[in-house]
Amino acid sequence: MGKFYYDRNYKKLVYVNNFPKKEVWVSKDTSVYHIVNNKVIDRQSAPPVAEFSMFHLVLNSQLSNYGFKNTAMIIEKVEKQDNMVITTWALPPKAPKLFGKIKTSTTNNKLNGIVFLNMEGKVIKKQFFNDYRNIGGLEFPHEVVDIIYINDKENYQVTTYKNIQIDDLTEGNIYNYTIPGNK
Amino acid sequence: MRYLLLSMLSLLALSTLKANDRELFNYNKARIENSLNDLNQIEKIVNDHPDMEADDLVKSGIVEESSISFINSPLSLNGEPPLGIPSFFWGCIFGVAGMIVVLIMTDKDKNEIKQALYGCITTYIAIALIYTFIILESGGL
Repeated sequence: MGKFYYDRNYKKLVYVNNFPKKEVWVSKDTSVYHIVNNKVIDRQSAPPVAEFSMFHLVLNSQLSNYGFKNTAMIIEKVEKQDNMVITTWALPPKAPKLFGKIKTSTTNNKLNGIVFLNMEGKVIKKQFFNDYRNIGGLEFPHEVVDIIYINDKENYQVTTYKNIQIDDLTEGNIYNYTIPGNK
Repeated sequence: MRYLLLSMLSLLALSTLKANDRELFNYNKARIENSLNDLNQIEKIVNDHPDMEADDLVKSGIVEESSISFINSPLSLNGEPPLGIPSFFWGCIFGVAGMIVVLIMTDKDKNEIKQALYGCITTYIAIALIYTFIILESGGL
């Protein structure tokens, strides 16, 4: 439980966690910093994810395709079923076969869910975006449900968002969080 | 008549296929809510006592230690979240790049890459391989 801060200009994703531990996580460029008591206790290399975070996608009105349009993924099929548009995404033919097809569903241009399949077409992960609310002209899902399949068993994760603010000027400094020791 | 029957069978097959695709996006909300009941109770306690940390809950006997490890990384594999980064960041927060990491981590057939992701030295190479393809081949950001 904690607070996220994201400014698309700084491209720093800051998470101030209060529970189960008091800690700060900052994703910047290709690093993810774990900060406790204002000290960096760990730094991991990771993809520069800020531009692909849900926050960036919402702020840039790209959540409906989950940012896939900015990748090399290709649209294999688009189908309309009832009020739902289901798009099947696939890796380009010459890409390493790291995972199978990905299906996204939208209703009224809002992303409902994503289904990830392995190379054999078996579902390995589902993600659902619920409870959209308009905040400052942007549609933000307030609940994200993850269902991940490990050894054919469903594992759940539900993330709920509250008190989302856009153009927040009261906590300006934290959006450009200074990593301790990186002044 | 034969063609009509064939056409009807084709239509039936198509509608079955469509129904299957539609069903992929269904899930049992009640089952998820039930399985997370304990966490909802913990959330309420923490909201009422904002300074409370996980250790306090365990010490006071409100929750068992195993529940806390579940909160820390509900989707963790091999007891550790991917790259030591909390699991909910992956996919939910990190978007498509994070999703790809989770996909590889959870796909039983990708053990070699999975191990590479766990390894310190090769971690970045494995991610870079994916990332280079997904991002740079699309013409950059």
